[in-house]
Amino acid sequence: MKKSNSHFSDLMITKDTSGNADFIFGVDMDRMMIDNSAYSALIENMTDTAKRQIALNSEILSFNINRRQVKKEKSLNSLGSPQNPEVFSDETISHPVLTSINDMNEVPIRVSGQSSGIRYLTASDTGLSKQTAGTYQYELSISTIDGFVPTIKKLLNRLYRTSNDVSTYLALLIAPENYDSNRRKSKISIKKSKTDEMSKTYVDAVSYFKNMDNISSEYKRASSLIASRGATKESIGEFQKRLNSVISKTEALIFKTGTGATPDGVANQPSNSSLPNSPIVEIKKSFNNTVSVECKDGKYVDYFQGKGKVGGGLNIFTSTEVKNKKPKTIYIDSSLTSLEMLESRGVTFNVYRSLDLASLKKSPIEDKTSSEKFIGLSAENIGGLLKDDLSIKDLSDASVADLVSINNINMAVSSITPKLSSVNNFQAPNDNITKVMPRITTPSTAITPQTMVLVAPKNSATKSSESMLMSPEWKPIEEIVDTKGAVVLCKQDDGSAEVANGYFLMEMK
Amino acid sequence: MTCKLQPKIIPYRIILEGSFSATTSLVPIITIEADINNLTTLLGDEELSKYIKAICDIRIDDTTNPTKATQLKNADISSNIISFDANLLETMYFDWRVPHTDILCETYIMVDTVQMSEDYNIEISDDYKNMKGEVERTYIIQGGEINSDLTIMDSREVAEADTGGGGGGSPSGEESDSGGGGEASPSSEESDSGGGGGGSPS
Repeated sequence: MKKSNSHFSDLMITKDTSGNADFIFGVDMDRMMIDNSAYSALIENMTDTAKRQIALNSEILSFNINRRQVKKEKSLNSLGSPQNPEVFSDETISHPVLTSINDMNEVPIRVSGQSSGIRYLTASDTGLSKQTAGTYQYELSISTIDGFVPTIKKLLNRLYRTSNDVSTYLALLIAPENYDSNRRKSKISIKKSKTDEMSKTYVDAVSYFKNMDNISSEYKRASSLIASRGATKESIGEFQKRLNSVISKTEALIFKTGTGATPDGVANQPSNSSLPNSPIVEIKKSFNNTVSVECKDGKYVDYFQGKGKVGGGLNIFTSTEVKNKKPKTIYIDSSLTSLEMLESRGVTFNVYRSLDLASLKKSPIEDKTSSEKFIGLSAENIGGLLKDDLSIKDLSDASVADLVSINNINMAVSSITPKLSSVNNFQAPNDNITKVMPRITTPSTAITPQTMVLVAPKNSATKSSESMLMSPEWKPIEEIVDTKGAVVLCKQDDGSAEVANGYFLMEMK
Repeated sequence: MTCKLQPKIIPYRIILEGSFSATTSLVPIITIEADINNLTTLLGDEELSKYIKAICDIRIDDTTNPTKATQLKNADISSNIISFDANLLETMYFDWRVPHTDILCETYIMVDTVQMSEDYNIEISDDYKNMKGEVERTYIIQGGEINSDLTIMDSREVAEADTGGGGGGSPSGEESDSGGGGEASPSSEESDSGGGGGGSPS
């Protein structure tokens, strides 16, 4: 059984303005079903038509997407030394986000002007906004019936029934009153829909083993052998010979499964049976992309103010809306407590080890423990109760405010809050409050915000679904021309800045 | 000017045989089965009948080698039914995989008056040489498409695509109900019983 994760794209994940996660991923469902089948070696020799049918008959038994809080840590090599790549710890339990594929919406995305053959599924995690902190990873698990046996069973059912019909047809023509031997013409008429169905069964079966140049003309050709209008005993006999040949080929597949199943046994199973010969395929996929509840630098950019929905997957905007979009930076300081607001402006409070205030005035500054240690930017190097670390208890329930009474904090800062309209004109008192300058960030290369559109990889000669999934390519929206009504996948690239609805769908107008 | 005969040869069935596959050795054959209409008793005379021939000219236009032809003669017209089997490889290069624009046949009755004059040592005027009936032109393939007005039995082996890709259509693949109905039906089965029809035919 071939196991590969190349059936999935990365999880493209963004947050809406309410902090819910909207995500989308591409999956080559057909190839995933085939590659994971217990009979993939047999299927390998069958045509794309057969493979598609097998994938269609791979009934999904369960489909789940779970969310798990994670932190990145170095993996250990054989000597126990940390090494790249980083791995996600799995110390926390998963929470179900979606429990059915029906909870996901399939989006008919066009890539480079055509359908890519990949199914793009989108959904939202409206529970993420209820989390107050942490980084989260999403895991997908699918359980399906192996579609091979049901497909062959259905095919054999149809073939056997048609074979019976042909035998009966020939038997009818044996009677002299039913057949003009001189002109080799049938005197009875079989309904055209019936002979069409018989020929279709035959051609459909052949199409599982041979790639057909033009299947509709094959239907006509096969039908011409048995249609009452011109059929002879010889032509019906020829049709029967060909039908038996494809039956033998199909029966051989059942024997090759090695399950002990017989063609008769398989074909005679009720269509709703649980198919004991059909293995269950379990597929698990942990997406590497994660989402953090906290907004980077306490702000995000919103290009579509007042637009977009909550839940239901990625938002869809028209190309006109996208063209007219304007960025607006939203600061989320308003939700901060007084203490956090001060912290965000570079002011930290020091907690003294001793309540002896008199001695504090004499104590050197080194004796103080700064809250910076716990929630500041340098905290990640120290350990303890850290923003980007896992806490002993869920960070959604704990905050700095839990450690100090809100009233006390408010009381302490009330006298200075009015002065903090701008950190620039804030004058630090001489005593207990230490002014800490905001972190100086390394000036990054200026990135012009750009809207990008998913396109087919140009370097892939085959443009296979695998390259589409594993090496997605994006082009600036200005270079994209698509037909009216087409839906394309876009991302707003603002460099390191966090963007609400950073991934979205665009309908061409 | 030649005399015209009344009898006409009207094809009622055309059978195409051979294969689209490069690997098969099946010979490309076109069989034309036809009625002979208006055959008078005079033309059916035993002595005379051996001079009466049914003729079928098959003309083929293809994109690479236009207008190839073969002529078939058949002397036995007594049953009012005639069949021409044209093995196309006998007179030309032919491959069903080559796209053909038009394939047509022209059928008619001809009295071999030249042979008759030799056998009976008589002289006939030019007006009576090559006496033939009305020529019936029938398109088998016209403009690249099989003539759907005709009863054409296409017994050629499956046309296989050169490359993968699953062909031009998608079979439903699912079990469908049987037709049956008012006309004669080889099966009374109306719906999928799940029983599969009782096993493989011999």
